[in-house]
Formats: sequence, C-alpha cells, structure tokens
Amino acid sequence: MGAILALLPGILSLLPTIVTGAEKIIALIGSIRAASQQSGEWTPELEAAFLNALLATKTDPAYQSDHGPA
Amino acid sequence: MKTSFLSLCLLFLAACSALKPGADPLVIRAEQTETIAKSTFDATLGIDHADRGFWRTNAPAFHGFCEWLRVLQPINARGDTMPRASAMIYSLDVVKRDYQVSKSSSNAVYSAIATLLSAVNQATGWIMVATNNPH
Repeated sequence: MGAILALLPGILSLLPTIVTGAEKIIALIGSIRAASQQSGEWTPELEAAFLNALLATKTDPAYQSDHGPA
Repeated sequence: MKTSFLSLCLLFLAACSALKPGADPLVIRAEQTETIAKSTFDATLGIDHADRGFWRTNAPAFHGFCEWLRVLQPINARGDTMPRASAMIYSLDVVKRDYQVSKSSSNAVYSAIATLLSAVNQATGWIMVATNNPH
C-alpha cells in the first residue's frame, strides 16, 4: 500500500502524456477528495468564498459563450 | 483501462471523513455536491475552452453541451445573471440556506441535489468522451 502511494505522484505526472485535459482531471480528483473529507458545515467565510467563486465565473473566459456575454 | 486507472487513483486519494457532532448530513451532502459540481463544470468547460474550434468541428455535441452550460440565467428577482453551470449550483445553495433557516423542507434539498447531480453526471460523461485517446 505504502509503495503504491509513493508511486502515485510519478504516475500522476505521467497523466498529461496520456489524456487530453489531464491536469483538469487531476484537479477534479483533488476536489472530490477534499469534498469527501468534509466533516462539518461550511463556515460563513467558506460560504462567502464559494459564492464569490461562483460569481467570478461570469467573467471567466472558459464560461463565456462563443457569442460573448449576452 | 483509463477509466480503471482513474478509478484506482480516486480510490487511493479519497477517504470519507466522520461528521462533527451536530452537523446536518443533508447540508454537508449539499455542500459536497456543490463543490464537486463546480470542479466538474470547471474541468468540462476548461477542456472545451482550450480548443473550442476543434471541439466545435469534431465533437459538436460536446461543444453544444458546454455552450448550454454557458448560457446566462437569472438567479434572482433583481435580474442578476450567472452562466447556467454556476446558476444551477447557486440554486442548490439557496435551497440549502433556506433549509438551514427552516424555510424549505428536506425534500426540496434532495430535489435540488438530484437536479444538479443530473447535470454533473452529463458533464462527467462528456469528460470521459472528450479525454478518450483514440490512439
């Protein structure tokens, strides 16, 4: 088990050569890991930070339509 | 093979945590769903945005789904808008906060979670298609 875990960083670093968008998939896996470890409700600060992140998507280029902001 | 590999990574990286005393499991499930939804939509839209022309030509259905996620939606009576991907998450957050102050029932939270998860499942499916190496 420990040996496999030790190999993980190396394996993960190889992912970009294997699939498209691997770094985004790695970020997604990290997020799922963080979410699964949540043990308490969000504090007001965390809630506000999350809502701000949602609001920020309105100006995120990846979230802009092909036709630009409506 | 690739799916198995990613599942394996997930298995090693993920470990569920015990809830703190007094924490509402439904609220935490809603927050976990919001977190995962945000990351899933970030990944989906980020992959599409990296080469929109390619996806528009070679995977129009994938690009069409991403464009659907990008359409601005009203989020309140004041007329503020957000891209649909964020608006769906925001909607669950509103229902969750209403539930926390007992303005909505747990059924409403379950329904909002299910609605958001259906979009997340579609996005996850598209990630698997878009990142599949055909060689």
